[in-house]
Amino acid sequence: MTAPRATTVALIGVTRRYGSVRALDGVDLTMTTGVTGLLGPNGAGKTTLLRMLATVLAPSDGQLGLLGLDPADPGQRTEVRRSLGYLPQEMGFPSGFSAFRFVDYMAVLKEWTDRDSRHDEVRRVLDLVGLRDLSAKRLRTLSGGQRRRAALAQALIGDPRLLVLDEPTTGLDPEQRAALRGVLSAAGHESTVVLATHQTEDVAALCERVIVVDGGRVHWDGTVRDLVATARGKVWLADAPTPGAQASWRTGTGRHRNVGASAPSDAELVEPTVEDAYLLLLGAAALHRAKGAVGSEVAA
Amino acid sequence: MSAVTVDAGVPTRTRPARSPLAVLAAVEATRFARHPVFLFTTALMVFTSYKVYADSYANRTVAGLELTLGPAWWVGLGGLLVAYRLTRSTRRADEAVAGVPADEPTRTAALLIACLVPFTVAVLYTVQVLVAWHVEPMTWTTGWDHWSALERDAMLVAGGLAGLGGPVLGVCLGRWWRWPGSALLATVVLVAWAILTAAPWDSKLGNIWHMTSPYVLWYSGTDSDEQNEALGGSPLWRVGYVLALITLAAIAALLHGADGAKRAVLQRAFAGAAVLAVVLLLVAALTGPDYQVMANT
Repeated sequence: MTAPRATTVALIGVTRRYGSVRALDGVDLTMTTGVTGLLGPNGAGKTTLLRMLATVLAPSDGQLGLLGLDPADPGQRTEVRRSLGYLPQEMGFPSGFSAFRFVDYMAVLKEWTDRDSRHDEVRRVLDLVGLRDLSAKRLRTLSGGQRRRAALAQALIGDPRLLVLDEPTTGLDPEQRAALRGVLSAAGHESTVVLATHQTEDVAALCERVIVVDGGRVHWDGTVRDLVATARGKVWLADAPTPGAQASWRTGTGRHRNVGASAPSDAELVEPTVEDAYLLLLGAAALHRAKGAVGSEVAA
Repeated sequence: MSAVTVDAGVPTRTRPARSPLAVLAAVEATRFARHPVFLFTTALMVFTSYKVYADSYANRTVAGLELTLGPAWWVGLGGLLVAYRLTRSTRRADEAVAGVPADEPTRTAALLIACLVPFTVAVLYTVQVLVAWHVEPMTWTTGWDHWSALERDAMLVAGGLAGLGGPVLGVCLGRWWRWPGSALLATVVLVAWAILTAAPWDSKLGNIWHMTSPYVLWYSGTDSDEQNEALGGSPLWRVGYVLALITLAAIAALLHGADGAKRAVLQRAFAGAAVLAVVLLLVAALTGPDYQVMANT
């Protein structure tokens, strides 16, 4: 029997307001070591939640505990930050910096004061994200994916106990994403890794636990397997879109994949994915919202 | 808000052996020293000052007291631009930087310490001129005998202090004024301020007016004029006023992002420095030599 894992993140009734808007609304969560995926549509509150875990944002109400400390207290917040790695959703870089210099600068800010060990650590994390050969290049000359990996490298400095990543795989090609999964799953053995993503396949491949957030509330919290199980019997293939299906699209084989609350009796059921379960969970209203957003983008 | 009780079984890193502030300050100082604008303005200061200096001794045509302008103009204003750029250089990474143990006041303090780089250049220049003045006084120069040796030295020191004040102000602006061009506008305002306050005004109120400027040239007119006007006030006390201004700018910079007890301490320090600055300004304006029309020698 394995020992129960220590709770490293705890939120009790956490609310975050921006004016009259509640970005998070009474969220209760606890986390331990391992990789947790945050799923949710744009504006669901994922980034707000991650910014709180990264001590960048304070709750308007409720209690937040990180690594046994209270981030509301300046001294304890600094202590949390000593064990924290954070990759924001959008990250720029100081002008004129090479990848090495940028990560080295961040390492200094993370109190790596000994030059030799700091440089060793910078080389290690650049190696982890596959940027060692490009470390001397100026960041502005690197591709978007390479810059994203440089940003990720700074989050990995010092094997942080709490790793908060907002869309870490954005801009990465499939090989890079696969490599990154290896890094993050390894980190999850000893650390609490929380990542927000729109890539449901990353969640399926990487996360032990998935939390679905929408409208500032937690809509689902459980294992990936349990989430997928909620869609079993609700995904089917057909030659045409099935009326009443919540979502339907033509696949590469020419057949239509349908996701809905109830499959027709003669439907050819298929194994659901995390994405199917996620779509079912969010419901028709969210899908209509998404369609509206895509429609307006196309119109624009 | 109290912390949620959780198992504190997660090990935390041991505290660093060396001060993170010292390491960060060294990094920022290196960035300052290597900045092209700093290197360029320092080179220009050395070049132009040397020309003025050499001409002054060789031809006795250049006003020696104008040598006080070198560090203020080149290192002060140039350093302001560099310090602003360095302060703002990490703005694009603000979100990630917000989650590191070195909080904003610590990062600001490191930048303020880095301002010692331009100040060192200004000090070296000041010491060199100071020695020259005492070895071979520039007695031919405008207004030389109007002030005592100590007062002339104080004028020079105040000019040298601008080599610290400009960069410190640049850090302050970088923290509080985040719109593009603000540093450039600040340099224009400083120059305009110095020019406007250099206008002679024979009254104690006039003394206060021209003393407010971060840099003062103590006489009006040029060497070719038949007579010049010496501004009133004490160059000695003005050094204190300039130091108080620098302290105010430094505290204002540190206040950005400070919270809790640290903020309260800084606010009290700012108020104290502000009162001190006003007192020193008044003392500097109301003591020392009076306004006087000087015959040009």
